[in-house]
Amino acid sequence: MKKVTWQRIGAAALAVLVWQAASMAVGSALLLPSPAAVLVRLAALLPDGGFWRAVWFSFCRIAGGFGAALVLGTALAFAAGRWPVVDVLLRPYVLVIKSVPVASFIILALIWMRTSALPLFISFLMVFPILYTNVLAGIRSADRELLEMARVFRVPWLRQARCILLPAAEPFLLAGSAAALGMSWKAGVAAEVIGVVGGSIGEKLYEAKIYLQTGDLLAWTAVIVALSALFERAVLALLRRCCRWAKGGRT
Amino acid sequence: MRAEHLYKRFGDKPVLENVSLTVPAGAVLCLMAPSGWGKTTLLRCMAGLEKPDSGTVRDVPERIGYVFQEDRLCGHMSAVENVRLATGRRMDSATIEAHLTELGLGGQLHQPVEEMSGGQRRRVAIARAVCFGGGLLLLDEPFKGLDAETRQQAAAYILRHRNGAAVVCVTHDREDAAALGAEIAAL
Repeated sequence: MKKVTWQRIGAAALAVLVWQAASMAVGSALLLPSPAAVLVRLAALLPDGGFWRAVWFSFCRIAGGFGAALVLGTALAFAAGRWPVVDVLLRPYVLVIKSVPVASFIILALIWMRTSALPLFISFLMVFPILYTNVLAGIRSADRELLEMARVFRVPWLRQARCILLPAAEPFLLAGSAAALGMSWKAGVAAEVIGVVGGSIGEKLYEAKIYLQTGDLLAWTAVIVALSALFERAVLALLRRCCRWAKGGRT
Repeated sequence: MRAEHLYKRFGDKPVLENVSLTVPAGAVLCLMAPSGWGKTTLLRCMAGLEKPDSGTVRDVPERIGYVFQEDRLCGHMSAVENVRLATGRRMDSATIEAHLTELGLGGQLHQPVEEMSGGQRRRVAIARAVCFGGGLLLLDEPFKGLDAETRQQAAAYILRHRNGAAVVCVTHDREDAAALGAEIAAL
């Protein structure tokens, strides 16, 4: 194994030790259970069909919200790069979404829609402005000289988008996605907790809070962290592949 | 193509002052002047990339092939793809490959241009402008970075494939003008 991998494993082991020490110092499983106790709780949850149904329920909605924001944010950023009026029209919405607290949107959404759609909507809302502004910044950073060349040679806009704008936007898209992926899980699960969305991970967290099951709370939190990390890796790998395919296709 | 009484300033600095130039159809012309005399700006005005402060550019062909002072190639794309970006479907891959091979790039057809040498990239830029075609070919120091033999090869290639297009070449080097058999216009 590489030295960096060992360092990461060492850092994770140290974090678990710190957790264990803190748990022993507190001396109450209700306030802070030990890592072993959380692991035991997690092992008890895994064979339960309800666990996997909750994971699937939350995953579908949060990933769906992220995917919708990714597609729409990227498409609208390219449209704004082509027609600046699109950005003028979208800017107020983007500013509002970025500055309004997520809790306000969750409560509003609870009034507007059925609770099962809540995580999808909130995940979309938190991710969209990040991806839109990042991709647009990437498009605006595209090489002016290449765009001028494309103008002289009358390259159609779609071909310009693929060959000149996409390579410029790619690092911004990947950086924005990395930031937005974690955000989508945090906001999506927060919406599930506040909305007590039936059958979701958020509902399990809410129940753990109500019944003071701190072990369950941390076990579900560990599940969210793992899901978020796996989702981030998969999405970034997929995005890199998509960009490579799009740039490498026939002109 | 006629440029008449062109004036252009960038800030306080005058770049073109009452410059007029007539390029007869099919002519091959080299513009020679020291650096900073506005040769590139004149080409940019002719291509419609720069608007003169006053004066007019008339009878500009609809399509113009342009070798920019910089290569302006998409680094992640191959030589063939860079040329095809300009030609679109009007030219098939085999013809593009034949053009590039004629310029000595037969071994680098599908190599990303960011992995090519400066001279190789320059030749891709020349092939792109020539393959694009049109009634006017604007060349801004087209042989920069090419050795004497390759310069001759590239000049012969341009003359062979210009299809009657007028050529306006900006250069510091009389050998470039000689290679193109061009009439020299001093600014």
